Amino acid sequence: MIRGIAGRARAFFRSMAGQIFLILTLGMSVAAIVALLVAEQTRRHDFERVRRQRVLASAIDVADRFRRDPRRIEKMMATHSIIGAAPAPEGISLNEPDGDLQSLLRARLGPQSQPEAGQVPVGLCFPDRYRSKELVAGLIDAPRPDCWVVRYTDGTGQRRAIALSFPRIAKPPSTIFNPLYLIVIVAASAGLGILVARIVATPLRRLEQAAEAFSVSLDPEEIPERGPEEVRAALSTFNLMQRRARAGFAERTQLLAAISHDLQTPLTRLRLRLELVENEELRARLLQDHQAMQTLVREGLDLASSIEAREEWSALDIDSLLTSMAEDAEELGAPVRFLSGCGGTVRVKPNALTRCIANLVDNAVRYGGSAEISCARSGGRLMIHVRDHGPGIPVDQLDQMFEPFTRGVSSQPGGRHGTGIGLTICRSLAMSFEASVRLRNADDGGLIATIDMKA
Amino acid sequence: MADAASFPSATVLVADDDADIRDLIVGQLRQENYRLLAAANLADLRQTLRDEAVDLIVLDLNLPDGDGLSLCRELRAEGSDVQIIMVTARGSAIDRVLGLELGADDYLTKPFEPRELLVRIRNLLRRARNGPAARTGAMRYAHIGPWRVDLVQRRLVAPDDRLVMLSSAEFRLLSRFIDEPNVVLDRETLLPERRATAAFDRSIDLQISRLRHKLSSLPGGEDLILTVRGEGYVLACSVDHS
Repeated sequence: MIRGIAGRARAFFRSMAGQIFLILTLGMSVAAIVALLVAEQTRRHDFERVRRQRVLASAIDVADRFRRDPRRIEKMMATHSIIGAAPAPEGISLNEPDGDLQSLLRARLGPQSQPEAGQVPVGLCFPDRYRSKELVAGLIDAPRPDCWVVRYTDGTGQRRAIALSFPRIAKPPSTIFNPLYLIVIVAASAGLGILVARIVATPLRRLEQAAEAFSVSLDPEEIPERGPEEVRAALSTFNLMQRRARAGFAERTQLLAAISHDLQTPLTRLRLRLELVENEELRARLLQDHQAMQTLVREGLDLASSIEAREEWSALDIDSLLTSMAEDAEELGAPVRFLSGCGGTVRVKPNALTRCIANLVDNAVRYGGSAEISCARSGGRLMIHVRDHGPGIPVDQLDQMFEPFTRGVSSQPGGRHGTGIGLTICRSLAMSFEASVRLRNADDGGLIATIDMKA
Repeated sequence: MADAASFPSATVLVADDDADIRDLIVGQLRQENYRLLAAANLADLRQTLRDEAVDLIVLDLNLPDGDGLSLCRELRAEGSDVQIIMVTARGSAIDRVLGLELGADDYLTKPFEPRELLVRIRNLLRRARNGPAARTGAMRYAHIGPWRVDLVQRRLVAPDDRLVMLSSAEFRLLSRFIDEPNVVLDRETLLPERRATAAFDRSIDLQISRLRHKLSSLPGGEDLILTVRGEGYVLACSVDHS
């Protein structure tokens, strides 16, 4: 179970869709997290700026008041009558002077002011409130004010030190490591990854199907050239290749057809002249030779026309065909039996199928001594088996048997007769109705030829 | 020979563009006492047809100045009932169907057995003498009950165009029945090739039962062929050709 899942996962990540999915998911997640980090940084920066702005506003305000009425303000400050501003205690060293704030202050208070500014512990702003007093439990966690000390030299040359207090602004918590965010990011990336992988894989799949169709049939339909520019280019190249291959094949076939066709006229003459030969023995031999040539020519033409396959598709009662063929063969004295049918109809080119089966039956009788025809349906396919009980064919020669002019070895009964294109015709006829032909040796001896087609 | 001798005046026209083949066919036919004419192209052929009363044409499909198929159609359109045997190097079933549909009476593929040509000519001439009406060769389909019988491709066609194949023996039987519908045919008539033993031969019963089985796969096809006890079998329906 686990191994199965692991295997499927490995297969998925080896596929293009899987790799696109992986790259997009990882890449988008990383990009989103980096973007979040940058946003976080900016936010922290803004937060600092807002705090600094407050300090600046208070400091300038107090400095203004000092300039207008220094005496009264000094008194008010000493008595804590101005909320948020108090005289700073003497002798505080600013551990972390805020450089940005100092330059802002210098710009507002003048170059002679030599401002110093920095955040200090809250106790310095409220020496009496936080030093000795105790807190009730509920206030222990209450936010304490921020406390800043600003020192500067005013217009009269006096150095002033102000402690400024502000309600604390809570720094909002960082969101970046919130699992919800991470889940949303990864899920969205994965979803997008799957979508893109689909979009990219669809035309490829179409191409693959077309290539497969082309490998089975020589006359498949062209793939519609749809989709993005590159995909269209690939599909159009494939269609071109398909047309070229077909044209080359057609040319070869036409050549064969032309030769075979042109031989028919001299053969007809020859046949008619043979009637004039008076020597009976010679005549019989010549007739035999003529017959052999004629068979070759006819099969050549059959091969040529099998590839064109102009026949119409029809629904055919399959058992009626198989029984009829067996009966016809029996009538001619051939040991052919019909074993089992599969009922129903099948869409084929009837003459092509008939010829195809007839060739297999001929071969079975010639090389195997007898033929048994049976039919079976399985998994949406319909298979017609023609089997004999002859010696079979060595496994390494099975595929070769479909090549033109390949015959059974001469040691076999019936070997070296026939034209050697029966199986070739059979295969190309089968292609014309989108079926395939296979040969295999039966476990208990003999050869099984199978026509495999869509049920 | 006996047949040929009884119709000595039959005129046969051989049309082929190959002079050797033309002469050789004429030479073969000469033994049979026909009056023989020859034509090398369509123009000759038409001229001869105008000048002479021709009973049968041995017509090559590929003539230098035209197609035998179109001539065939022309002749039939004019109402001519001259017998035509097409001889052609094309051999596929489609050509055969086309040729017969366009009005040829028979069809031979080159190269052919000379004797076969002789036999077919003889058969066609005999048929023509027996009755000019029976040009079934030009008819593609015979309708019996719910079925169409394709007389050229030798198979049954259901109303939904489903094909049911017939063995040669079944087709021979069926075409015999179609020639004489509603007539009781005895075993000897149905099985002429085994005339001597037909009375005891059970194979005809087997063939009839197979044929019935195929015909009964459509509703209305069950009772087309009936047994007449002690006499034989009958096709119990009317036959239309199309």
